[in-house]
Order: sequence, then C-alpha cells, then structure tokens
Amino acid sequence: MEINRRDFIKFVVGGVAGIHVTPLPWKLTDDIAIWTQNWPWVPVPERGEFKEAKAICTLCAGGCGIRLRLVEKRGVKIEARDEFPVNHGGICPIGMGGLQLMYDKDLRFTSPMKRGGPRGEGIFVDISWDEAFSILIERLKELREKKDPRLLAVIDGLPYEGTESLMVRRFLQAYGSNSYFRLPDQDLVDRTVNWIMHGIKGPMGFDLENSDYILSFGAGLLEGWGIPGRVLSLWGDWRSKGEGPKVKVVQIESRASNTASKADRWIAINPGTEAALALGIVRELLQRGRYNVDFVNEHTFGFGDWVDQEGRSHKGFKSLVMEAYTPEKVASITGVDPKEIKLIASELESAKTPIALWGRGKAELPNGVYETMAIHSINLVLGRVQRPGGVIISKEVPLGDLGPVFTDEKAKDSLRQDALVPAGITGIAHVGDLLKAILDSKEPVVDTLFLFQANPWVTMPSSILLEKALKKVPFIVSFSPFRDDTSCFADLILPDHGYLEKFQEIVNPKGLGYAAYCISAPVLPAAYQTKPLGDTLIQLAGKLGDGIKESFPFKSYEEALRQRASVLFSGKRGSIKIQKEPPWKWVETKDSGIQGDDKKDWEALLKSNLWYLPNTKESAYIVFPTDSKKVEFVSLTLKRFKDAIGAKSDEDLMPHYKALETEKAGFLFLPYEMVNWSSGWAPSPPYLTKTVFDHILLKQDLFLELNPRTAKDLGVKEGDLVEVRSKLGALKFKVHLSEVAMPGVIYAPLGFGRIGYDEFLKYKGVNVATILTCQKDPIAGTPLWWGTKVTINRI
Amino acid sequence: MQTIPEYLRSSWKGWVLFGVGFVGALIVGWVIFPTVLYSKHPQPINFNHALHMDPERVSGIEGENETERCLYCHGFRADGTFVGIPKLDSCTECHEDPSTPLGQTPEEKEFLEKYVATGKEIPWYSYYRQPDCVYFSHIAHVKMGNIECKTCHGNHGSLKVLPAYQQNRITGYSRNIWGYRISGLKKNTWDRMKMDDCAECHKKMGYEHNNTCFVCHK
Repeated sequence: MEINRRDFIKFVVGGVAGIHVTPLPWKLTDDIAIWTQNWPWVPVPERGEFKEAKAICTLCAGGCGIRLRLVEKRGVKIEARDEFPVNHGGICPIGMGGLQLMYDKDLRFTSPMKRGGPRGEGIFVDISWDEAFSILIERLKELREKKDPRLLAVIDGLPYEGTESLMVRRFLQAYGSNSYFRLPDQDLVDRTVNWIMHGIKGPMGFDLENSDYILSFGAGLLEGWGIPGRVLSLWGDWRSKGEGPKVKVVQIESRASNTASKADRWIAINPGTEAALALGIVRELLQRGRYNVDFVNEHTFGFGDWVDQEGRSHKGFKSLVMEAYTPEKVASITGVDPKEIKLIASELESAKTPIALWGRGKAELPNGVYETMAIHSINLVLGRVQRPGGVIISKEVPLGDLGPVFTDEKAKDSLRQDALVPAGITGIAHVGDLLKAILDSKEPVVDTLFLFQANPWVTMPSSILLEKALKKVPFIVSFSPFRDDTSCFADLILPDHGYLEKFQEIVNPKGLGYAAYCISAPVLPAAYQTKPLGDTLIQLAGKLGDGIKESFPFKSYEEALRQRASVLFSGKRGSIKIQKEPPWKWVETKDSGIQGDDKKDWEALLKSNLWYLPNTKESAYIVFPTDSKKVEFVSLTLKRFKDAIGAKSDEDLMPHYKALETEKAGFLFLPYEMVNWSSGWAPSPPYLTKTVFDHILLKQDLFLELNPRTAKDLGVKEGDLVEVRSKLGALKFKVHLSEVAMPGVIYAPLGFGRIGYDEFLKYKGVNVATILTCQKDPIAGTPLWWGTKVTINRI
Repeated sequence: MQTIPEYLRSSWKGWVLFGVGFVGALIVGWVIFPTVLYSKHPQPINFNHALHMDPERVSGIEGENETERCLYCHGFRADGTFVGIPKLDSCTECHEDPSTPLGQTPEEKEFLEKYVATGKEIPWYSYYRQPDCVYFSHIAHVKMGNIECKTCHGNHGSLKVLPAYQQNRITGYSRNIWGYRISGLKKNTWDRMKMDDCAECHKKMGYEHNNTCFVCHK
C-alpha cells in the first residue's frame, strides 16, 4: 500500500485529534507550570520542626540578646530579644543578617587552609587539621629554639576582657613573647581617659536609659555607635509619643548624618574642633556659676590653681578654660555661633540628667585622648559621673582569671627583654606601631604573625601601609572564620567557628551603663570543618609542650569559661536572672538567682545569657583611685609620665584643644560610617548590599559626597569620575553632590573596597581607610585620623 | 469485479491512517505517557501500617477512631505544627533495642540494623507533600474541621505494604497529588490533592471564603 503525502497528513491529523482526547496536553501544561515554580536556584526553607534558641550576638562587642528561629538544626531567622536588658528589643541590620555569615561558604574559611597563590589574592587550598597543626608547631618550635620567641607577634581584635583574648595573651606569654598588639578603637581611648582622670583601668559606660539631654559630639547614634541594638531601641523610646519626659538630642558634627538629620538640633562644626567647643561650653557653665560646685570641690583635683609638692604653683582647669576658650575664640575655631554655645549651656542647666557623648560615628576609629577628656569635662563640671543618666566609670565584672601562667626558663629570659616594638604609657601597643616598626626597622621585628578577629585593612587608617608591611612578614597565620581582607595575606588558616556555632561572651558590652557579662552556648551545629578558637589554642599549647601546655590545663574552652564564671558565682553579687526591674533603675537586685552550685548556676547563666550588676545609690560617688583620690582635671598620672608623653606645660596634663597639623592646601577628607554597612572585622551580610543607595555605591563605583558649592569651585558635577589623592595614595570615586556635606570638606563611606569575602563585597568601591593619613595620639598612641588633606582631579 | 474507484480508495486508506494516528495517540496519551511521566522508587524499607494500627497487636495504639490512632505517630507538636512522617525517635520509643526486635520480619531486622543501630534517619519518600508554594495546616483541618485522615489519605493507614513512590519527572512531585488516574477524574475525596479539590471541599463545607488566594499561597 502506497502512502502519499495526503495520507500522511491524515495520519498526523488523526494523531493530533487523538492526543486531544487524552490527558497528555492538559497534564503536560499543568506540569510545566509547576516546573517553572521549582527552579533549582529558588531558595526553599528547610522542612521540619520549628525551634527557638536564645543567644547573644558578638559580631561587634555589643553583646545584644538575639532569638534564633530554627527549622530542625538550620537557623532561618534572627530577631532581637525584648526581655534582654542590653538591647531591649533593638537590633542592627548586620546582626539581623548574621545567618548569611554562617552559611555563605564564600564568606567563610570552610576548613584549615594554606596559601595557594600570591599573598593578598586570597587563594587557599584545603588541608587537614593535623597538617595545619603540624606546619604551625614545626615553625613555632623552631622559632622558639633557634631564634627569638618575641618574633611571634599577635594582632588581637577579640573583645578586650573576653576569655579568648585572655587565652591569646596567655599563649603569647607562656611562649615567651611580649609582641602583643591591639586594634586602636574608642574603647582603648576611653580606658586611657578613665585611667588618667579617674584612676580606673576599665571601660567607661553611659547610662543613656536615664539621660534626658544627649549632647553628642559626633557619636553616630543611628550609625551604629556603642551597642547598636541598644541605641536604636533607645532612639525609638526617645522619639515615642508615649508618656514620660521627652529626651532631647543635640548632634554636633560637620556632616548631616542620619543622626544629625533626625536629632532635635544639628550643629555643624569645623571637623576636629570638638574639644574647643566642649571647653567653650564648660567656660559658659563656669561663668554662669551653673556647675556642680559640691562635686567639683569635694571630688575633683586641679579645678582651681594648685601648688605641687615642691611648692611651685600651677594653673588649674578653671583658669585654663576661662582664659583660652572665650566664646569669640571658640567661635573662630569651631565655626559655631557663640549664641549656640549659650543655648547649649542653658539646656544643660535646665536638664535634669544631661550627658555629653563622644566617639565619632561608630566609634570604631578613636578620638584623641585630650579631646575625649575635654568632652568628658562637661560631664565632670556638672557632676554627671556615677549618677543616673551620667557617665559610669566603674563597671567591674568579678570574673575569675585563668590561673597562673607557667613560663619556662626560655620564656622568662625572653620576657625579661624589652618588647621589640615598645608600647606607650598605657602598656598597650597598637597595630600601627607594629606596621611602622616592620617598615622602618632593619632588624626583623616579626617572624610569625597571628591574626585574631583582626582586619586592619579596613579598620585602621593609613592601611595602604599594611600591604607593604605584611609582605615583609615571613609567615602569617589567621584564626578568622571569615575570608576577611587581612586574612587574604595569610599563609595558614586555622579557622574559628562562626559566632553562633561556639560559646560566645562579651565582658562589659561597649558603652553600657552598668557592669554586665553576656554569654551564650552554641546554637547552631558547625557548618564547616572549623574549630572553636579556644579549643584550637588549647590543642596548640598541648602540642607545643615546654611549659606552654601547663598554662592551658583545660580540657576545653567551655571548661576555661566555667572556671572564670565560678568566681563570678562565688561573689554572689549581681544577678544571673533577668529581673522584672530593669538594671538601669539604680536599685539593688533582690534575687541574684545564684544558688551556690556551680553546675546549676552555669546552666542558669547560659539560660539567661546575662550576668549584671545594677548601679545603686551607694555607688554614686566613690573614692577615686588616683594619686589625689579624686577625679583629676589635672592628671597626676600624666604628670608621672610627662617626659614620655612630651608634656611641657600645665595644659598638657589637662583637657585642652590642639589643632591637628595638616597641610594647608587641599580639601579635608573625612570618612563616614553607615548602620547598614560593616566597616569593622565582620563582613556585611550580602542582603545589605541591596540596601546601599545608588548615590553611595553604584555597581563598582563608590561616590564621593561633596557640597554643591565645593563642586562649583572644583568644576565638577554629579556623576563625574574623580581621583582623590592624599600623600599616601590615590583612589577613584564618582561625585555625588549633596547638601549634607560641609562646604570645603569631602566625605566617603568606610567599609568598601574589600579584597576579601565574597562576590557581593569584593571590589565594590574603594577602601577609604587606605589613604587616610594619621598622626599619633601623644598619650594612647592611637591614630588621629581626621586631618587628611587631599587633592581632587577630574579624570 | 467491481473495483473501488481511485478517489474512494484513497479516502478509505486515508481514514484508516487517520484512525491509526487517532488510536496511536490514544495509546500514547492514556497508556505510555503516564508510564513515562512517573519514575518509581521503592521506599527504603517496608512499613506495615495495618499491623501498627491494630490495638490488639500494638499496645498504645488506642483511640476512639482511626484518626486518633493515626495521630499516635503522625501527631502535632506543642506549637500545633504537624510532624508529618515521624522521625526515628518516635519509632525507637518502642523499638529501642536493636538486639531484641519486637517482631521477626526481615524489614524489622533491616530497620534495626541499618537505622536504629546507627541513629540514621530513614529517608522516606513522602506521598503527600504539597508544592512549596502551598501552605497547609493539618491542625486546622483535623482539629477544627474534624476531618478524618482518610478523607485525603484514603486507606493508606490500612496498607500492609507501602506502595512504590511515584515521582513526576517534570515537577518532582508525588503522583498522589495529581492522582493515580491520569484522566484526573476522581471517585473518592482522597483520589486527588490538587487545588480544585481543596476548593471543592471548602465550598461544600461552607468555607468558600477560604478559597481566596492568600489563605494557602502566602
């Protein structure tokens, strides 16, 4: 039978007709529609039981209480805890996005690694923990036996009094090295001021919950200052329309930041002249006689003129201020109208619980010590120390120590020698000193460098020097859980667990107004082949032997934590139970929740995640442990070190203003910080990249913010590409014209231009910190970074 | 002999071929297509629902009705969410000791050796998993609506042998959602679990307002 074309068509038509009376086309249509809902890249939440776990957040030293929502063992959401007094329901965007930092494998070191490419490229190859330990042990043993143990240096960015940081210092000491460096931040400056003015070597706090007038000298309250969760929550309270007194916020800074824009009043001040304004305000208060005479007379030293032991008379604080900080002079320095100074003084007078705050932006980059002293002197003349709503200077957390450090002969010999890089009068050297020594010294100052939660590439001004310095260090080991920028220069990675995967603690959350200790147990299983830092150090010490092992008699990091906590429990002070009465009410806790059984108390502490000791009326005024037993306007501590700090006059022992020496030509270049962008060690969660406005970052271009008047002078317009050059180097920006910028000053955000982390952070914009020039604070040795002059050229 | 004219012969042949095409398509659509569309996966081990639902043989499986007996293992958590297929922990409430099995079947031996002894969860295939875009609350239907399990799940609770799981190769979903009849027609309420079936029942029970989109597609 011959089949022609016409027959074939009939066959096909028959088939087509037939298929339409089967379910095939209809079912296929339905299935294809469902298939399009199931693209493999569409994220689908895990199925299983919903659970909840409580923890703290240690992405910064804030220690906010967080609630983690889990499906089975997978974390799916982070929320703030309303009942946790530290942050009372507030949380910052970085903390909310923290889960991305746990699971994003491109952000994390997923196993021990060794360098597999050129330094700084961030190319690593996986190795086993055994191999990682053996590489490191071999190197450390050789360094200790054949060279100088002091050539092992540490850059420690871990929370200051935390157990991990204590273990790092203990390891270094037992090894025989005194090459310990911290990252310079406001906490370091606050501790220095607390020491030289009040005699207390501890952090300072701000009882903001009780303040009714906030005079903020550039503190970025809405940019992540202090404990961001706490301050954001407080800001909500201050602005709520509920009952209670309204809290007034006056923001003093050159740029109309979010805080300035939303404050009751914004005072645009010439950058870097805050100390002069503060002392101008003090003068106004003194002139009116509206200061706390009782406090000043009874509890301070050096307010009036004074006579030393040799009978020489010296100028006191009052004389200094009255002579040198007249309204006209202050106005010429700061650009602030004398009427404004008078208005602030009147407001301070009429406020019941005013407070003056300091710490620019997030306070990650430090203020100067004299500047901090000057701002704090407003609090001092008003008697706003250890008072509700004032500055809290004594926040002791009675945790135990880790026991004696065993040092063998080798370590003792080594520690008897001076540090290769000397620390200043505070006894704490910072990373800038180390880098300078590496670059300047002909002799090696470091052979092996350990990095602990430290990313000076973004957190330190002039970090362009970092690359040069790190290239001269023979071997770098990073213990970071993240592929941070500085770790890209490492040769060996021994990765820490992510924060929610390990025991976390914060001793005295930054800026909190009462003594507190936040701690939480792991709430997520480890996602990768990592190890908690504390356990890594214990194992490292065990493998090194030679006395170092004896300094780490703990089976685990948890045991070390428990040892410290048992002393806290035995003191029976404070509370491990979150009471109904908030800790800022200045009343003693009735029930500490401490039962006297270490096991039960440890469990209770891990359940509440908090120990705290409220201030009480009894703690209002204390005897200050200074030489004069008083608060020192004239620091006798500084007098003891006057040669070391180069103090030549009475003024150098007191709060005073001194302009930074800057080049005359060029524009002042200032960085700014954002609450939704990390400019610290922790990366920004990728979600946050979407929250950055197009006039801040557009694709790979970061924008320079300048006033239209400045732009007119420069002849640039919106969107132009410009090169900004300081004496350290040049960076390229696009131009954004905005009235938020002070004329003559240019601004750019910190935290961009990353060379580490993942595709959402890497090479986005430029790293402003690299070209910020800085001078050294004469007292704390910390960088004074707000005097960078730059030239701008259109390209 | 009378011959069929050429034009008629061509037409006859054409109709035959039309019929062949038509019938062939019917065979493809009704027989071959469903066979090809679904892949079959036997469950990791057999589970005898009939045995476990018998209060005379299994102590603890008691209840006034079948639904209560189902809920013994497929229950609700404290927060009201439905546990679905029980975890190994539920099994080991009774089958706790790998060395002393309760029964003698090879399935139980395998279960004890492979899963109970190692603590590994049994990778069950779920016959009734709805697409991810569908929100379904068991507790709202079972407790508030007093709907019996079999209304949607049929006689699953009385099966002695778990049927092979059939997975749609295109969507990845279980065959039970569309139903075993490729026509999509149903006789019983449990024959299909498509959106129209939900809507039909809502309407019948007087909850037509629950047919608005965001009740289920949140």
